[in-house]
Amino acid sequence: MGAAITDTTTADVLYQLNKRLSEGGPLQEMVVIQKEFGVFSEKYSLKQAFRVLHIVPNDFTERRFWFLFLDALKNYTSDQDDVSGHDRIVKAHQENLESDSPLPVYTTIHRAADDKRVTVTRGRPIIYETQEYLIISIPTVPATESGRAARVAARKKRVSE
Amino acid sequence: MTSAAVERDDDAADPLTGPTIGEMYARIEAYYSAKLARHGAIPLGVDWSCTATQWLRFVQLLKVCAFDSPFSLIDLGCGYGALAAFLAETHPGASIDYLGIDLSPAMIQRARRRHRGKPATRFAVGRSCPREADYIVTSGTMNVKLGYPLGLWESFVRAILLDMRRMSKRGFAVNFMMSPTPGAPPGQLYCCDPATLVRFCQDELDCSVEILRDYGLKEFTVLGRCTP
Repeated sequence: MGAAITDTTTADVLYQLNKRLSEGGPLQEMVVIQKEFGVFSEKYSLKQAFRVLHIVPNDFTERRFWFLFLDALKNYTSDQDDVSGHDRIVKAHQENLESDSPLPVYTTIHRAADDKRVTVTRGRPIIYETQEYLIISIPTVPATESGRAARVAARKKRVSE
Repeated sequence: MTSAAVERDDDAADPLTGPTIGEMYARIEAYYSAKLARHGAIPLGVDWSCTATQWLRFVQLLKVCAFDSPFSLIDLGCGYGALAAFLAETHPGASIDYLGIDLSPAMIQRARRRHRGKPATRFAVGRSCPREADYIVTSGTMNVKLGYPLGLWESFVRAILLDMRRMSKRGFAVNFMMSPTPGAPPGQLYCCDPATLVRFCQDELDCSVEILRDYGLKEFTVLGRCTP
């Protein structure tokens, strides 16, 4: 994420994802949406699913980069052989929401230098909660390492000219 | 009505006079036109959180319709025409004479633009149902009460339901919130109890009523079926 969208946008979309799939009413709402429309399935890409769910950056200028990032996840590896990061996330949401006892989902990030794969695990990521979550973790490259900061500055310069 | 009266929020059954209702419609129109100007023709532009929850509401409302034969449908408070788009997507083979009505000229302009070239899908600016239809549906149009007193708003709701019942030949559908959205300013949202609505529909509207709930949202949908 860091290489693709700004740090503020990363925080923004992580907050939205974790709110929409949190325990109680929000999770129940997502279970019904999944049952009715199958938003997480082979039929739809993550980009389409998140568009329909309006999980998009509040910053309009960042939306395009968010959607590019979601498509780029098709080139990421995952903790399952021959399954892309994109498909792993779709499948994880689908299986969870269609299960008999769906868990709230906690989406987080880890350094790509430590593990380049999208990973899906179960655990208790919020230390003050006893609630178990499905944890989806996406590898990120800090903007400074990826040269994104320079690209963003160049873009702003082009816009101002 | 004075601005002081508008701010008051009590249970008194205020009379729904001509000037009062005119002012209410004007404020509602201004509220939704401003939403559209801010967000554009997307669910946020009609105060819904996302396309998926908007569709979920449409699925419930359309349960009043029998899709096995052609029918006419009025969508009261149609906004930018999202229900018409949903129908085209989910019931492409259905023969539906659709008429969308909205207070906001800006909404109707957007709706017409989105559905250009579809002769059976029409839109008009208006406050109420201009003609009879097999079914009349309205989604979320009575949720935002804009600080009006509860008694006055409930008179307004009853007037709309009476109009829907009078103009629907086969049935009508409407949704209401059961509890306010967290963080919503006090006095802005209208929430009600399904039992109250059932009583009103059975006693005053002379129709059979089905209540749909537990569809993932903190609200319920009333399906009113009219007997010929």
